[in-house]
Amino acid sequence: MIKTPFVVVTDRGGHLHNALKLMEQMESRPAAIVSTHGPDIESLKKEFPKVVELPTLFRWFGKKRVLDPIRACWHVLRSFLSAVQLRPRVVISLGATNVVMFCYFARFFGAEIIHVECMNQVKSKSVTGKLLYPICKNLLVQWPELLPLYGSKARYEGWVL
Amino acid sequence: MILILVSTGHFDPLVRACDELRDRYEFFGQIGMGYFEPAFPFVRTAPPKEIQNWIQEAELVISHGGTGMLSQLYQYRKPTIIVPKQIRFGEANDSQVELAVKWAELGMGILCMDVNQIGAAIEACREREFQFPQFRSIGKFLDAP
Repeated sequence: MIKTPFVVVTDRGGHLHNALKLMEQMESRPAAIVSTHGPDIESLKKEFPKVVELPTLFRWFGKKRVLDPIRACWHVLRSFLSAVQLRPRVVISLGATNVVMFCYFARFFGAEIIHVECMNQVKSKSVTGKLLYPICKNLLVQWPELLPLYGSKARYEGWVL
Repeated sequence: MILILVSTGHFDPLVRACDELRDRYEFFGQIGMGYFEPAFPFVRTAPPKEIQNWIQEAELVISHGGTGMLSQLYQYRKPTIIVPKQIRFGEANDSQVELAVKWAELGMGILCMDVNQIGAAIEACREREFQFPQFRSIGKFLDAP
């Protein structure tokens, strides 16, 4: 199904962990990984030939997440430049919201977008899933309960494990 | 040893509840950025490999309900008590609850919504026989010609 070169785009933490699990399952290797900065990023750079870091859209104040306008502008610019530079034919997204801009720019340049909905989403759609569904070729849910909430492009094909 | 895993964030209510039971159980905690320091042995963070070693050694694991952690515990088929981080424990949202409930429905762990019930959950976990169903792999689907 995957045409190479493909790019995996994800966010730090659990999303990145799941992206790595997905890549363990796959024989094909991504041309690049796009992710926000996190503690795992340095080891990621040793393992994969090309790792692109995106700035995050939000800042955290304790438990409160606030959109940072300056950082958001930088995020949009970096997402655009990364999409231009990488020009993937296929993008596999594992969320979260920090991947949306990159996916839209990549789609603009002709990439097919495949979004894997986070495992947390059992009976409700994620914000990322809602935003990416219109431009997705396929949206892969990890629980069948979620299928009726999406349209015909959604599929259940198991887990990322 | 009972391993407590809270990831990189805070989960002080859980750590505090376990600390109150430290005379009954042998705990080891990975407590993240929490402000409360328990009297039992703990670390704040650790490399993934080290955490995996602790998971393998532990009799059972008390874990938050994050996808990364639960998927690791699934791989090791480890008896698990899942305590989802929730707004009432100071979390920003209840996003871990859906997955924790589903995990328990499938028989892959014991759901503990209230940290004050952790003692009862440990006893239940020791007696429970867990099931770990197999799931298809998205990676294989993506790789298929």
